[in-house]
Amino acid sequence: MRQVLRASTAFLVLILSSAGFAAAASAQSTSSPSALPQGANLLNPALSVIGWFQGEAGDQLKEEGSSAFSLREAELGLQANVDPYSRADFFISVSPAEGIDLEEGTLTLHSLPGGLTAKLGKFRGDFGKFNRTHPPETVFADRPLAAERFFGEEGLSAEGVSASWLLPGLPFYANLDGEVTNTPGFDGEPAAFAPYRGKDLLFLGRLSTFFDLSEASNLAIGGSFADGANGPIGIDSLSLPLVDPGALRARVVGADMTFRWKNPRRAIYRSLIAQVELMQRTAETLGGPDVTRTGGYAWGDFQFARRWHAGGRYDWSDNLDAAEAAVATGVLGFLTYHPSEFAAMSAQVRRQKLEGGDKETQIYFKTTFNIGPHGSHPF
Amino acid sequence: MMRRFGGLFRFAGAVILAVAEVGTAHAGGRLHVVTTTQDLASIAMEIGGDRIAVETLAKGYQDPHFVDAKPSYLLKLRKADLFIQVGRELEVGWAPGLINNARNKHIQPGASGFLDASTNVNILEVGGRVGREQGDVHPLGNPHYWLNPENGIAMAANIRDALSRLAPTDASYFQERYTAFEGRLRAKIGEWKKSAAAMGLTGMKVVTYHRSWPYFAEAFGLEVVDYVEPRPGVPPAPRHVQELTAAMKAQRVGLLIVEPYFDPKLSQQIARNAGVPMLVLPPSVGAAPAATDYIRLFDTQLDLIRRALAGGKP
Repeated sequence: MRQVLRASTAFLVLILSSAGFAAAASAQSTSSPSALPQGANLLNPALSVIGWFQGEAGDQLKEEGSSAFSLREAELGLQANVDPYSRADFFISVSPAEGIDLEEGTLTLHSLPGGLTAKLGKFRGDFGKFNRTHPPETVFADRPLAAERFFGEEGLSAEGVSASWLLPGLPFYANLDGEVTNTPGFDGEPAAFAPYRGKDLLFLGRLSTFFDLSEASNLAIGGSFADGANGPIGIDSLSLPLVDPGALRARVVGADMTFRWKNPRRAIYRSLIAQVELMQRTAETLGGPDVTRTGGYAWGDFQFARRWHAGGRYDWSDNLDAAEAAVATGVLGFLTYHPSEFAAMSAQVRRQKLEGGDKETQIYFKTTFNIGPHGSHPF
Repeated sequence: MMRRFGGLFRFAGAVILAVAEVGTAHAGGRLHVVTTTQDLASIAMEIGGDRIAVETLAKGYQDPHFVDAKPSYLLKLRKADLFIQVGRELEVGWAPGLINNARNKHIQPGASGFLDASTNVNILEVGGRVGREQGDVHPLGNPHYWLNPENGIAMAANIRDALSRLAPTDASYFQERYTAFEGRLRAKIGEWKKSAAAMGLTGMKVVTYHRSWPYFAEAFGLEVVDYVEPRPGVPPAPRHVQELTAAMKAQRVGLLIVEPYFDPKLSQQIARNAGVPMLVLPPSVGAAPAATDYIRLFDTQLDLIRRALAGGKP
């Protein structure tokens, strides 16, 4: 742990001193014509940092390794155009618990013909709505139960290539995404997919649609599909694999719907988001029938004042590992205060009823804050 | 595995080749122009006439800082020959993401179909120390420059040049329309300045909700002495409201100007306590029924101010 912290600190110092050097060089260049040309700094990528501090209390703190307060993550963003045809985006998460992790690092080719874009690198899979959002930027202090059980604590993310096609000739927005990536390992946690061999690929497809219902309201409907390896994890460890486990596959299908309302004449004061996401996994097993498990969540967020949001979420999910289908459920409520566009403080309470009947209550205090250039508003 | 997905790859390849043939070139001879605001759309129509078709993303009654980047906007941007933005980071929260996802290489920054209309405009509030402790500041200067009608001439010239670059055979047509628009606008500017002076705006102290009005003040001689927002994007605390009310009384402020997308209740209370008329003033084309184009925007603004100062209901 100490080594991880030391490495994280050294990395942060390196990044910040680079930024400091850039700023100093910029200041110097205005006073001294012989200093480093200012253009060198103008071509630096946009650098941003999102901090995520969290306080927790409740039943899960009884688990080993958990703590009441944590700086969960500092997410560094480095973004710039590479040339007239492409853009590079890097998001590096630094956390005391996980160390340094390249969360996303992509080259996006945005100037392809025919409504196409392509992306390569490491990225979060375009499955459903929740998975694409970086953890500090979600409204929740935790992850929905189904998202965590299907795609792990960090979500579905892997190296690979993707193509995105804005379908032409339709009177509404419809976009088709296709991705081929490595099968992610989820740090060995049980999840929807399990890699066995390096060549086991994950194939992902998504259709996203968007409809303006009125000037103030709109509806987004999407469907997702992922097909990947279902390796030895999840197979009864006492039975010897009779066939190559890498040949087993698992498929997850998902559907999501998001309703948004916001009066454009009073955009900063009132808004509503309601979203539901469902997912179902069907996995091949050794010598047995396919196993199907389901999960989902529904949540809503109402902005009732310029700086205040309140909302709740309902969770349900099967345990993917259990021999028999058994569902856990949960509810979460939150009240969030935004001191400005660049910070949020949220008090949240979650109550879960697990498969065995055990009940857990967890209280969170999530604070996020960001520095750097003004990014895009979430939508 | 390869056999299993070989068909899929072949299908995907065929689709890519097929759609590549479609291209993004404009059809029917008219350039397709997409603007972020209705002010830009109005000036573009003045210059482009019947040689262009114009669509706009944000309506004039919307806060241009906070527009949702709806995917449906991508349908407009995908087929655009020219994208025009106000720039100076006014649209930084929503336009860059749309441009990135527009699947249109012609309107990417640096391409011939991308126009930042602030080029060659005299921008106020540039330089000095910039930090978030000052609120949601714009590091590249105050972006509400269209509210000085003199800047409308530079904006029109920028649009003329961009259209001429994209459709060189129509360059003389665009130049003719620019000359006519410039003449009409200059004549109106003279009228407006006389009208503003006649109603006593020269040197009048005003308070505004947001920092939207320094260019308008520059054009018509107003002096903006304070803001309802203590810092851009930061709602006022009770103490600031008290201090502002007292300062408005002490400085004999003549008018409190509020943009239509802010809740007017607090401003009404401040204005009432300070004994100052409050006016919801349209900052953009489309923000009021009478403000149907760029020239009528200033006609409407000055008419509303005249009525507010005369004690009439705006």
